[in-house]
Amino acid sequence: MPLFQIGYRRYEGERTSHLMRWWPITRTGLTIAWRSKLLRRLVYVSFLPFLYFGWVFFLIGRATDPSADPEINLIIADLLGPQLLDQLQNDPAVIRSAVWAIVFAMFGTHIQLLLGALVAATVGPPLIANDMRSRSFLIYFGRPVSRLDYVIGKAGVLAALLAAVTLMPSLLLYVFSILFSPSIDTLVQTAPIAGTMVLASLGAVLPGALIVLALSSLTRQPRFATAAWIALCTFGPLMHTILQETRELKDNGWSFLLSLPHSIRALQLGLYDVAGRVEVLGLQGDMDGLVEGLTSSNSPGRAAAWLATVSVLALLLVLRRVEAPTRI
Amino acid sequence: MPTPAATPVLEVQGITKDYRGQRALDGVSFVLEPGVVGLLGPNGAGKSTLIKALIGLVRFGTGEARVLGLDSRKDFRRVRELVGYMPEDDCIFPGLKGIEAVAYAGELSGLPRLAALRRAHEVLDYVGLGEERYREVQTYSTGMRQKQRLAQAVVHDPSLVFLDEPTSGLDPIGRRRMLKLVRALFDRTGISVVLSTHILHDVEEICDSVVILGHGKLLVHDTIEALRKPADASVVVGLERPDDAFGQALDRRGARWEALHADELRLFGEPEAAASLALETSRETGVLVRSIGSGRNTLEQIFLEAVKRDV
Repeated sequence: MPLFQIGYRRYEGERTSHLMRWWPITRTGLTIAWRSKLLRRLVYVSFLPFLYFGWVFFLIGRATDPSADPEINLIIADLLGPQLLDQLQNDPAVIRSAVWAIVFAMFGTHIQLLLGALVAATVGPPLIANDMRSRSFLIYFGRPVSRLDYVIGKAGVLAALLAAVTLMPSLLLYVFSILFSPSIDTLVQTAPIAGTMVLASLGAVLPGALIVLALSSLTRQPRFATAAWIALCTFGPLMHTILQETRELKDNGWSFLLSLPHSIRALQLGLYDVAGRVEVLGLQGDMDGLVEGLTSSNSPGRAAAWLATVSVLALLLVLRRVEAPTRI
Repeated sequence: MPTPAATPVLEVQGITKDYRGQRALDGVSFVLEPGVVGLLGPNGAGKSTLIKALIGLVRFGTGEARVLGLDSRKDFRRVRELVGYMPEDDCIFPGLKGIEAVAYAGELSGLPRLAALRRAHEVLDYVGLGEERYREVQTYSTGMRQKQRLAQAVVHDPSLVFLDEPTSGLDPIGRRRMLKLVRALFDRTGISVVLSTHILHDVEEICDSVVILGHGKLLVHDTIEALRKPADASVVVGLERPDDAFGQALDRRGARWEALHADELRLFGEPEAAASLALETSRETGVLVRSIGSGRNTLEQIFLEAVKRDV
């Protein structure tokens, strides 16, 4: 019981723009999601690969620094091979960009992608399913919030957290690498790589977020959406692998589209132009095992078109599913 | 600012709404002046559909609706900014504490973050949710949830609030307090209220006028005062037991009367004279008069008659 109650007062202050109506949905979604210990741990874990790759970039930085201790070259030669070390020292501007692009592609397309899938499985399924179960749609849409505001707001939660485990560690690694470079010219030479990082992250975040939201909108039970997402991330790659093992269908150029991770990886490798960079370094054949999907017939253009189509379909499905419960 | 008295808060003209061939609203038309209005009707009468249509949650077929002077279809965003809605369903924002949920509702309605938080505290004080505001909404009792939902409906300071069954599940004390709060919204701040409920007594207690729907049609729309007033002056006479002799005696005396129930009748005439006539008839026939009351119609009678006519 308050000692003094002011009673009901009229509000005569400002109102926010309609264009920003999605923002409270995203912010509140992030606040709720961040209460999950599992999510916090996943985000922290996503920065661990940084330690290994940070060490690699430190060594590359030293290799191109004429004033560096010659003994360090032995370690670098052991890690990158003597041929690459020679190339780095002879033509650092060109070779650095190529090496950086390949290393960033490896960083973004393997562990970070897996962590992204786990984050999506943790955060995404309850986003719409819980609102359907608690019937809070009526509270949202009884207010000046459109379906699109709602979907953008919910997708924003996933996009922010997926970016936190994919884009943020990459950008941090980039800043770290710049700091350990011998000259400021490195920033100019490698700036396009930072832009590629953003695009590559977008290529993973957008379809991932929209597909998980679509799954979440199909059920009132988040666990079913989680199961569907895990199935999608497991059976797709499995199908792709099986088809690749079939002699008649090997390198068919389309089976990778069955697998969301493979499609995203094909797009990202294309954005980083890893195949071209490997050619510059003369490492064709050596990198196949290291960068999965590098020399297969996976077409980045086809992957981009496919991911865009899937994203649009997922968005349309979410919009339709979000509208349905308010109509009864 | 309270809505000026001259501007109707709602103007509904021939609204129809079909759900898969089933007509939920059938040419409903009425105009509501500012005040507290009861929206009554049996289950499936179209009350919730009407509210949802007015705030743009469902699209109606034909007809027009203006809410606070705005076209509910074209200006639905602006309408929702000016209107508060407390849905019938037990809908909550999962995972949020009481204060967070109300502030969130305010932000969704366009209040800046800090203003929404400040307003949330004020309205939670107003509805009497006290320190419980720091608990998760999922742990609230039914009564607390109702208060929480009312707070969410008014946090953005609307000019009109639609309350769908705000007293359902409340104990008598909670119910009384809720009704007091709802009435005070209009009396103290000028916020008009449309109260959709099954509880006739709630409407009788706090509403100025009433709209009764049945099978999607408008059955009655008038002020409570006008509806309760019978066409002619009368008293309602309650008898100890059903007895035809009482009616026959009244006929012999040339009195005008009508049976309301087997043991209750309405006797027309000026109240004092009608009461004396009832007592004299009682003495004559030996049928004991249990009660003599005001001849004003009760809302229950009005409602039952309207629904009976519709059937």
